[in-house]
Amino acid sequence: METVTNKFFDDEIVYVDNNAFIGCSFSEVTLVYTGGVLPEFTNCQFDSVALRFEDTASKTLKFLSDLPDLGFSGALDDVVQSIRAGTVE
Amino acid sequence: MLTNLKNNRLMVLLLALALVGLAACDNMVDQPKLDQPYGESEVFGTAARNILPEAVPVGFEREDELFHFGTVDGQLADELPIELTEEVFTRGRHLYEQLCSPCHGMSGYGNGVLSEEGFPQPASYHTDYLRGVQLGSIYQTITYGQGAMYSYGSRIPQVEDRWAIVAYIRALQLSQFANYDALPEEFQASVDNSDSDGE
Amino acid sequence: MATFEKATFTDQTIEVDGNLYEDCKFNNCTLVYRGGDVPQFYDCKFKGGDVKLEGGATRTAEYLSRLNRAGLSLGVENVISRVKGGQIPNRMRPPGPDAVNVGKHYGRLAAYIGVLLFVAFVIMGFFWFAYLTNPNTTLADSEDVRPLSEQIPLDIMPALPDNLAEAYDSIYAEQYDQLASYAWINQDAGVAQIPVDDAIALILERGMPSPVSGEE
Repeated sequence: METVTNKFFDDEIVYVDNNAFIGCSFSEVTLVYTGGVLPEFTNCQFDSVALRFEDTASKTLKFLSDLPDLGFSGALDDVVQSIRAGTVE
Repeated sequence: MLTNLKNNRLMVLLLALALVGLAACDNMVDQPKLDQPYGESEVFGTAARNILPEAVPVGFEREDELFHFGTVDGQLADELPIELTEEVFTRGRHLYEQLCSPCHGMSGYGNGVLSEEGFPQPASYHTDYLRGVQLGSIYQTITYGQGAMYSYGSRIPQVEDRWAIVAYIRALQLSQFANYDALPEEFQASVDNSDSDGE
Repeated sequence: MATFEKATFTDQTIEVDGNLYEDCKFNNCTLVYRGGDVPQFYDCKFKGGDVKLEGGATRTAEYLSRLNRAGLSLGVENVISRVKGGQIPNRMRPPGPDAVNVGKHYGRLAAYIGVLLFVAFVIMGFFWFAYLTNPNTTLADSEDVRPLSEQIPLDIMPALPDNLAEAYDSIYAEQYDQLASYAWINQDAGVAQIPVDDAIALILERGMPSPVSGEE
């Protein structure tokens, strides 16, 4: 896990996997997550930030979006609920 | 899938939205229509259809021919459609003195105040011709006008009132042309005692 | 990448990553997804059962949760709505900065309107003053005191007597007299004049007079 402290990211693409951001500022930035080691954000500021997903992460979102068609919207809602409540796994 | 309750709610909501969305469909607004009253219409000629000559507005049926037109079977009639009472004459006199006397004079000689001031003088009632004319003819003159006299139909909207005036005119005519021999005695005495000598 | 056709699974925990299922039945099964290739289901039927995320799939969900707590809840909600709507986000932007604070502009607007109204009133005042001082439009007393009938030159006015009321009164008096008196019209022909009230009484008694002769 790499720790990044007090850095100001401006207009760039940041791969967040395996990073711990402490006190950082993100402005006009695209955060990309691939599904690897979970990043940490502590005391960070975000302004006009875009979210992008690749590899495992994007496949996961695709899988989740398929669930309602299969009849598992309940399961999807549970996942969404856990995301919002911070109670994943 | 239908056992999933949340799906059902979504379907119901979508259905409701779809129904509401139907209101946005305004295809029926853009359709050929006759919105100009005088526009051409293949079926009717003009879009606004002509009223049939026999058509009569509600309340204007005028079925009693004698009462409304003074005619019987199209011919002027010499009868009154109303019952003659003293109230009829009183009403007739009241209306005559208000509406007719300015031109025709109080006694019907045509010497009303207006004719003194330059208005065309109407004919005197007290001629053989006018004494002989039908009651329906007098009624029609009031209702439709004649010559320089315009129609008083709109000023005397109640038909009974017009007939009351007709009756009073006959009384005026009789008052200026009474057969002495047919008068009751006291009237004859009064005539004898009058100062006039008669031409 | 396994392919299953017309298979039936009952009471099983199945790892579905990268598999293709065609015309299959799943009865009370738990599907486990780890974040691998997205499984594909064609014409499959599911009765009961559940879905579980593991591995990279769980991490993705946890990542979204952390973003949410870090302050990017709007962006996360965007992702969630895309997922629910069946679209996968590639690139998304959170909504723009807050709408312009209108409150601070109200004062300026009020000032503009106030100036406009003041200018309008000033202009109106000029016109009103001009109207008031224009002799043609004021309601000042006219110098001509003659009656209107003399002021307005009309050739067609008849020669009215000086006192209309008197003239009319005398005409009416004459005519009322005649209506109430007896007289001879033509003594030789036996024609008399009777008051109209008597005539009315006669008609009521005897009916309408027959034409011309004056008899009843």
